[in-house]
Amino acid sequence: MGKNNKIIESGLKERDDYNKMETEVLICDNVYKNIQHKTIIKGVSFQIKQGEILGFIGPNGAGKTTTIKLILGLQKLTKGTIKINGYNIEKNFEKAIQKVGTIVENPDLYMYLSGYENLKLVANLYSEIDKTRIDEVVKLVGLENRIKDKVSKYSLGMRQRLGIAQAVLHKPNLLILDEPTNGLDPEGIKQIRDLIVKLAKEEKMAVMISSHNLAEIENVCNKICIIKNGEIVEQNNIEAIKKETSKGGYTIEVDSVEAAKKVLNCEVQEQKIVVNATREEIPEIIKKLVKKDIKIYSVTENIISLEEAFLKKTGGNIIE
Amino acid sequence: MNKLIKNELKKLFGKKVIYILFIIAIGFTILANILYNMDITYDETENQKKEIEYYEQELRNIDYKNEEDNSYYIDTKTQYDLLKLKLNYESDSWQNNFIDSSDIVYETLMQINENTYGLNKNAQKLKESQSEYEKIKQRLNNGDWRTFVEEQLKETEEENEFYEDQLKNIQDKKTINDIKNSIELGKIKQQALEWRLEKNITYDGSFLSGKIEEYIYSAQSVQNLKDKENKTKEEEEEYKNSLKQMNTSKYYIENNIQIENENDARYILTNLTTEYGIFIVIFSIIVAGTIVSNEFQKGTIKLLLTRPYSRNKILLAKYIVSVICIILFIIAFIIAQYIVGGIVSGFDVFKIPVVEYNFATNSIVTIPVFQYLVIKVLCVLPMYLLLTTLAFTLSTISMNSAVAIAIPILGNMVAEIFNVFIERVKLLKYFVTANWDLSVYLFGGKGITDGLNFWISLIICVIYLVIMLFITFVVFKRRDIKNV
Repeated sequence: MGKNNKIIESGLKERDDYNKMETEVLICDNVYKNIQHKTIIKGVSFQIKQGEILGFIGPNGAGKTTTIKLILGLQKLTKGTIKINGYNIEKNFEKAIQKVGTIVENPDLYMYLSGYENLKLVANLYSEIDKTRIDEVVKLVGLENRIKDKVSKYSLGMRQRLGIAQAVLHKPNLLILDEPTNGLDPEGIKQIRDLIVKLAKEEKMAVMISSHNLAEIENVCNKICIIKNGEIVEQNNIEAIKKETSKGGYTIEVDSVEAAKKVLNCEVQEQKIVVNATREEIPEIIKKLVKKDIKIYSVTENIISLEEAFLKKTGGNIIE
Repeated sequence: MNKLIKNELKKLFGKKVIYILFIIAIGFTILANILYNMDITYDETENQKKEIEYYEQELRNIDYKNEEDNSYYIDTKTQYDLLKLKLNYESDSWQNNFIDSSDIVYETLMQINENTYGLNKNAQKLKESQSEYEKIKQRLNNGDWRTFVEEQLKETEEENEFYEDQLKNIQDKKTINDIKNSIELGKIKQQALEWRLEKNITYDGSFLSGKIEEYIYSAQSVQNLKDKENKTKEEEEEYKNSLKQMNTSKYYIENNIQIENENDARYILTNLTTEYGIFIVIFSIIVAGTIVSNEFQKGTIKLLLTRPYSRNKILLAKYIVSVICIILFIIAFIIAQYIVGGIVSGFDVFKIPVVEYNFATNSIVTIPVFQYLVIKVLCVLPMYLLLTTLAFTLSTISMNSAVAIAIPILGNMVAEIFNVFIERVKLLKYFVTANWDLSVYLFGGKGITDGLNFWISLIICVIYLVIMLFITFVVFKRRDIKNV
């Protein structure tokens, strides 16, 4: 609460503040949300810098979509502050939302209009979008051939692409995507993934992606935020999380597990042994085994996937 | 703001349903014009023949020599003769109408029959009436209606002279009043007959002939009710209607305004708000009832609310579009009616001005058709606006288009019922249904019940409107957009 009191109200001063911080595109500070006397979001805080891609992950019901809605001003905060580009979302909504592009839950489109008409509706609301920009974005998402068709005839994947097109049309510097690759084919997923990386790099866009598909987040994001029961349980860059949760070590396939056990301090898994050692220690271990005449068939490093790390962190969500 | 309105219009006109509504509007206009213009004066000859057969049978069964049945026989025979006579002429000829409306033919036939079959036959009288009947037939056949009129006129004049004479000798106030009243009634008849001669208006079923009959009827009603004290509500109503009818028919006759078919396209156009009002209301409700709730139901509201516009602006844009739609629908019906009606009834009918009677100044007002239409539309606009706003409010609050459409339409239907109870429950006069139709105040008219006037009604409407809009905007601004 102490922090809240310090928030400077006037837009001008907010701007000054922003200039000091410069690269912080989105700041969520100690955000709370109550829905019918139940606290859904409990003091969530995180930042996204320019060019950063934040993976916002958590099990179902953890509060991902609610957090996104709070950021977008679709729901009112109970406590805390959210600033986008230095503007407070509640006090200065129009300025704060100006450079935000988004898909919430599903790509919500007017089904009875064509893809182009849908984009035109968005374009009308911003002064800077001209026809060439629309064509550019259409090409970017690969819908050139079907853009004049009615959206009701689109597949889910095409709708998702059109959703991204309408989200980036006005060149936002913060892109918030809720499950952006939902329903896309592998090729489509790759395209969207590449697109997101490209947007973040070229247009210095900050991106926030919420997803349940962890593999996808792992490949795209450079920062991750794990939410569980309305609280952020982990917030770090990907490598750090992996390192922290990794059990690490190496698996060595040998002919006699018993013999190896006598030589090394290790765990046994079927015909393999697992040693908790660093990379530098491996040659020494191999030497020891060879000396005792134990045959070595393979040595592999134990790499932990983000998914495992994720499950370890959240340990399952309890829906209250 | 303009961009938002433009977008809302684009979304609206991207939907098929709006075009379906316009097609319904045109279709209904065509239907209404054809139905109103159909010749509903069917040929009565067939019916008359059947009636004649019936009377023939009756006559065969009754014995006129029987004292009890004698008068019935004469009645039946007279009816029979009258019908026989009518059969000689076209069903829409002046002769036919004249035989129906005038006593003279009936009475002559009655006398003939009384003196042929009656219990007190009189050969001399029979002869007289038979020659009278021949004269009548001759005139009917020659198309000589003027003589009939002249004769009636003379009769009425004589009657009035007789009353005037009587007045001199009578002292009793009540009798004097009665006689004076009779004289006035006679004068009305006299006036009508003079018009017939002067304007050459026969007894055919033409517009002006009808107006003369209307004038006699309404002027007599006015005369009877004029000095009556403590008129009941119904009598007051009748008096006003008669006064209006008397003055307007007089105007039509004196200015020789011919309208071929009173229920023509011009009638529908000038009464557009009552003829097509329900369609305009329902269409507007459909638009206003879906414009917000559809965005919620389809989830597109999230897209809309994450654009750099405040929620108030977004909602205001939607409301403005709803109001634009009311006007669009009204204009659509006016254009459709003008074109379809013009084709069916001829475009010239729209040139005849509307004749209204102003109760405040007691004078006739003539207004060009389109000017009249604009005034009428402006007067019912509060009703359209309030119902549409109700739909809009429900659409925003309930986020359910079915509710938002059904309730205002029901409200529109039961509004009449509310107004029925207004005399019993005085407080109902501050309810919106008693006030939203301002056309009751046109031409010096009074409100539905005592204690209401134009300004009170207007203020009540504005209050209701402001309350609904206030609730709508507050609810919309505070709403958390939940999962869809």
